[in-house]
Amino acid sequence: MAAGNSLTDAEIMQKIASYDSKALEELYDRYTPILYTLIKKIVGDKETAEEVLSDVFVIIWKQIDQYEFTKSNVYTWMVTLARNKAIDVMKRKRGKEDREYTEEYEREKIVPKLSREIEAMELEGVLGMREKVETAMGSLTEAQRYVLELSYYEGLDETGIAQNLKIPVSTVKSKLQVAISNLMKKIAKANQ
Amino acid sequence: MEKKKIVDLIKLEVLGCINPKDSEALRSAKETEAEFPWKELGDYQNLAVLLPIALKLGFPTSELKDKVAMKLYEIRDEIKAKLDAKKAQEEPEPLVLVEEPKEVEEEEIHLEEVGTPALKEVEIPQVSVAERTEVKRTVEEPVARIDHRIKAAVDKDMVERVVREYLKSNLEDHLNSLKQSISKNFILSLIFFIITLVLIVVLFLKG
Repeated sequence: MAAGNSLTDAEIMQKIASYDSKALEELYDRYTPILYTLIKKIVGDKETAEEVLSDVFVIIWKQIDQYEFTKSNVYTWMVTLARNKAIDVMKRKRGKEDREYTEEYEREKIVPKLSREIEAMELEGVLGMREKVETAMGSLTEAQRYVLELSYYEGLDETGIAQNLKIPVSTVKSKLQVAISNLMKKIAKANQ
Repeated sequence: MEKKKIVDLIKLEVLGCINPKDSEALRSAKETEAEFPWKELGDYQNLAVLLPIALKLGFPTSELKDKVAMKLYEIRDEIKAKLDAKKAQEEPEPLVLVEEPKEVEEEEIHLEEVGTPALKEVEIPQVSVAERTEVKRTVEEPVARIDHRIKAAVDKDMVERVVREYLKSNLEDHLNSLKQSISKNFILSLIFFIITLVLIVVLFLKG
């Protein structure tokens, strides 16, 4: 195999940038479990999840020039891309998004734009944090976990969550901000 | 915008839970705020993507890989075009040769056809400085060459006229005198030839 298991995620992305199909196959093998799990959580059914997952790999292949190699953050780029795509599919199904799906729209709304300053993250390192993340999530209140899930997996905006929970929009905002801040603190503490 | 307010918006953005108004405010802050908290944005982007690892992992059917391969095969032309474009970008830009205008025959040159109006007729569109220089060069060089040829033609006429006048005024007399001296010499030669011939005949008769 051209892109063997010894290669880092960033090196695989470099090969994909030269349209090395073996490298894309390697990326598929590595990332499919996490991406499929995320997409299925968002879209609900297996068939749609598989369809969206295959679209995600087509997007990676087509939009590889949008990936910023200097940031070496394949994991955040991949997961954010998969989430954006899955949320977009669901919004279209629900009639909440009617803009034409063009190449430009894809670049603007689906392909992630990572921060200028971001730490490198690769799948292998992230999977090693599973326990810490589970513990941190478990330490949040039920309400905090719920608003996090509604926003991240359901793609609901603050108004949607407010309607869903029958609480003011300002309360939703503050709950989300507190929830993610707490999560950040817990994970940082666990990493110390 | 205050840094705290920006960070609050960042938290909503990374969760995909930001309204269009706040999203626009954050976008504007990214572009204008010199002290934008990029580090915090990066940290929260990295944090949000940790949420899925707490889920129980699932796997798609094994046929999905073939399906993805088929989808990639279907867009092969698009990818080929991208590859070609990438190759073209990497290769040095070929030199653009400006086609030389055909040489204009001197007899065909009419001053009214090649003056500045030809330049005025060329509309230079909204282009880059380099393109403008190229357009200007393309238009001005042939005109300059034609002007040069006209000047050359005019100079040649003038030289011919001056030469003719010089020949007429200075050399014609010399030619006439030369012609006269040639005729005189011819007559003298003829006389000497006759005398010589008479002497030869006399000597022959005496002998």
